[in-house]
Amino acid sequence: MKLLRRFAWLSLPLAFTAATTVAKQEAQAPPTEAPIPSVPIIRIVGAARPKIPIALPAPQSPAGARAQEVAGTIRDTVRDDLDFSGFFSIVPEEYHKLVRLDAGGRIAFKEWQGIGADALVFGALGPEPATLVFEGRLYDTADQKVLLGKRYRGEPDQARLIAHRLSNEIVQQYTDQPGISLSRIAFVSQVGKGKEIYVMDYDGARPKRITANGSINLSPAWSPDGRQIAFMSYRSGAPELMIINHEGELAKAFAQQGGLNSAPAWSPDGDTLAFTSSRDGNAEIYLLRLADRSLTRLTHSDAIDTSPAWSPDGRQIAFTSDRAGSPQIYLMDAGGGNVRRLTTEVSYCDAASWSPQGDKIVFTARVPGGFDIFLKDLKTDQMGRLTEHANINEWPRWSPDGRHLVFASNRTGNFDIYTMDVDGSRVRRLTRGGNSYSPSWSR
Amino acid sequence: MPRGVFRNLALPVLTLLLASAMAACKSAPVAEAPVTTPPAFESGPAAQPAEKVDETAGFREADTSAEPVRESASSLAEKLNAQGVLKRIHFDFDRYELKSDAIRTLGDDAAAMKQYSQFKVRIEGHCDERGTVEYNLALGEKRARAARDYLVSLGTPANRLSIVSFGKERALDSGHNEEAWALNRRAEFSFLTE
Repeated sequence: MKLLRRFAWLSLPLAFTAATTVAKQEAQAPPTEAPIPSVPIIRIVGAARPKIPIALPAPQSPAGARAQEVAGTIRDTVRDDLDFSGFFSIVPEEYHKLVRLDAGGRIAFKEWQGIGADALVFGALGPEPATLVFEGRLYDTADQKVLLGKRYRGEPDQARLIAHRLSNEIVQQYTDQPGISLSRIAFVSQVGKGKEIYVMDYDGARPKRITANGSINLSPAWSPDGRQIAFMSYRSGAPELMIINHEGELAKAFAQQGGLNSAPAWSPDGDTLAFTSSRDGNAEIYLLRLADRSLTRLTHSDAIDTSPAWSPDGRQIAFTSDRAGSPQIYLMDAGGGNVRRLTTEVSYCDAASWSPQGDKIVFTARVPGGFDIFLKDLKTDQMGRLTEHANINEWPRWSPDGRHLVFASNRTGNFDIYTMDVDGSRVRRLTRGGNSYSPSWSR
Repeated sequence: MPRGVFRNLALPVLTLLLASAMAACKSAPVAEAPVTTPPAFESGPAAQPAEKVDETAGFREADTSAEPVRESASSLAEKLNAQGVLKRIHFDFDRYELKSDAIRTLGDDAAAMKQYSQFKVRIEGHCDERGTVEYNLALGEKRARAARDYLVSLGTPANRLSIVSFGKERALDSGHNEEAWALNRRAEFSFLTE
């Protein structure tokens, strides 16, 4: 195992090992495609920096089952958020009994240290039944001081929101980076014969259906401010680009006259949608300037060009094209110039997504037995494989902090939404029992 | 703990009792700790107001009561479609070139379109489940377009033909095997009203 580099902002060392896996050309691969060279695909096997051990004793709560349930929900949600963040390790709850909760009116910091807790979160739920007031405090057990204290007021059903707010504060306190606990994931899910757009919390909680036209609605894409979602809908018969806002107002993105209009991707400044259209007779990538609905065509090829993905600085666009005979990832300047091919290792690559730090691109690639998610490091040109041989794993999209990915997989038989860390570890399933895919993670 | 800490933070009043809450907390799997009272949060005279928690852009639940209206085709067009007068054609994986059997089928389809020239025809392009939604939408469009171009070359007026791609969204066979995939990679033709 060889340590290659450190990713600066996280100081997250990723260890790469050369995996035995070598993609082989499949019998059905188009004949125009050259055979796969036997270049070993680098597999990222994940190592993390030391995590901060944190203890979350049960919050203080007024008597009553309901209050205690709410307090428990908040604590559990904060714990799960901190665990998911990857910055913390949760001190097992069974150790808490070794600590006196009241050491003569003081917090027994030394005892918390004794069970390994560097940090401590105390919470307290207010007594008012009609409104939810929760106070959380973060302590450093070594310095024996409060690092932050926050008090939140919300509706009785906003326990998870309050918890996510507190989690973000705690992550910010330790990492100087905003937490992602309030981010959300949009996705497509089957309803009868139709496919509708849903939104859920990043952890899979509180799924909400936001379209109900009974038609096929696909490819949701968040606006950078999280207040709008662009998607494609067949509700008028032809596949049209639509925009829905958080009030539920639905509008066509622009006047469309038949043909395919799909794959919306919002520019980082929110002013422009990149998308795919066949309006000129073939699937090409266009820019739609939202201020005046003006269109600019970016690609010119007889092949398929689709699935645009912006670089975080808005200067480049990654996209899929089969101009070389099979789908591959290409990059171009946001004006359409300087087109160059990014992927050459596997015969079929699609659905690029650019990391928020701008240094990596993830995508889906066809492998024997299915599709897997791969990562290309733009600085080293190294490729990493993040999933392995479990049917179809596709449409990876970055978390706002660039530490996690959301994707769709049919590893259980049906398509569901999953998250994983950017090294491929800690895979979590967020949806169950439906046919859910095409996730998009809000900024 | 120094008394000044909370005051400095100007935290609000919240005097609380732990009592049996620890033991009752649903996720506490262990026996009760030998503890009487918790470290009570101190009161401060200038309590800061609590932050109001809001869904800044929560997105509304869709109104599912309004069921969509489906357009109905004329009875004859519907009947012809149900009879399968226009035959579908199939494609190889990730390809949109017409195979020789597809070309033969399209010859028959062109004849049927001529026979029922009062109807416009919609061509749907479809794909198997492999590959992403977006790529398959574009691929399905290519397939529909390939079929249309050939029908036009056989003399079918282009203005009678419209195309739409459904990508992999409308599989004929929901299986995950070669047989299902082969069936699902197709272009379909249907007569439209008027």
